[in-house]
Amino acid sequence: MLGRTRSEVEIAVSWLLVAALVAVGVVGLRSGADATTTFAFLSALLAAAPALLTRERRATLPWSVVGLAVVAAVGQRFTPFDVVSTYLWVVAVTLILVVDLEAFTEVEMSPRFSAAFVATTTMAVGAVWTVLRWASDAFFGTSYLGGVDPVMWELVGATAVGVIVGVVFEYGFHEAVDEGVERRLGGGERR
Amino acid sequence: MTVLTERLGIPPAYQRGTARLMQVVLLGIAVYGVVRGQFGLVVNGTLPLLITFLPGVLRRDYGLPMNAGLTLWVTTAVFLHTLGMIGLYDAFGWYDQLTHVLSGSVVAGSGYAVTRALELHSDEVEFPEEFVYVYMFIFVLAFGVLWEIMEFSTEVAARVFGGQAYLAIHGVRDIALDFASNGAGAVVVALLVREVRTRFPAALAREMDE
Repeated sequence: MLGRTRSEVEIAVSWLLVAALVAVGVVGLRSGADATTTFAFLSALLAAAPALLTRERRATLPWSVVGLAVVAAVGQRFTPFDVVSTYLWVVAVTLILVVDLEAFTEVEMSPRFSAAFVATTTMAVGAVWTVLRWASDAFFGTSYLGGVDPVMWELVGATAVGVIVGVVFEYGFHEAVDEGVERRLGGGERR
Repeated sequence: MTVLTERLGIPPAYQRGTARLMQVVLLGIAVYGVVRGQFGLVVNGTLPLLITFLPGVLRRDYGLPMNAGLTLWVTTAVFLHTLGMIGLYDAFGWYDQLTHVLSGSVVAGSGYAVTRALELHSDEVEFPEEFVYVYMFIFVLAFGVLWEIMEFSTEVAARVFGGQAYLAIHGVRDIALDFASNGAGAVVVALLVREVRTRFPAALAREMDE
């Protein structure tokens, strides 16, 4: 669990994890930019957004959330479990987004709602991703989608990952995430 | 849904009557299925019929404002789906998309109602207006995924236990177009709600208070 006081070590770890996301992106660039590369840079940017926008080095995200993104990114790029990793990554980025939304907009979520938000967003990304790949297959002659079975199992997997990780993280870390954001951005900085 | 009554001048009694008529047809399909021993027809007549009673139950048991137009909207969506199951899906290629746009709009409406109700009744949750519109879209797509998984699980069950799937998936094209149509339905409702809320803020507040 995240402690109440966030030490310099935790902040450093969080920054190192952001650097790891950038590294995955850079490795991707070397072998030709693709969707994974873009996603790596995007997740690094979202994770660094609180610090960048407040110009406060200490305004990092909880290392557990950024860490999940790194595990997923590495898994997606370098292991055979790329499909599950992709959705784990989507979940991680949604969690990062929840923290960013709570920090910078008027959005406020209860643990229950943010678990539901994370799960449904992961499922929705699965749907959009399916539509995009189908459109590409139908109009540009690619063959991303194998058939009904692989597509459906992928959606089942996305749903399972979204629900499980959403619930575990929100109930385990929501308060810590909230506190962290509140404290480090400071009353005046938080809009 | 006051639109039907106030703008188009259709009396609520007619709206209720139309919904009732569709319910009778659904019941007829279910009974016909029982008589002819066609289980698929029983399922596709009974389940939608149960869904059409949902607005009434919500009004009676939870005191939620559900008027005749809303009931008609939900009933039309499931009614068209059942007609599709007994032949129209196969007869017309575009029919599947029509029902999905409509059911997508129903789900988007429910998604809007749920998020709005959550925000009104809970202190822990707070959303700006724009966030709700975006979330309606996400909600509908997620619901679509859940629906496809349900269809798929009847198929897997049929494979494991033998027999025939009652909700069939016809192919990847079908899945993708279903999602796209659901999404289109969500966008339509989000735009409509936005339009109504900016034009008649007082009317909606009244409806919420009822």
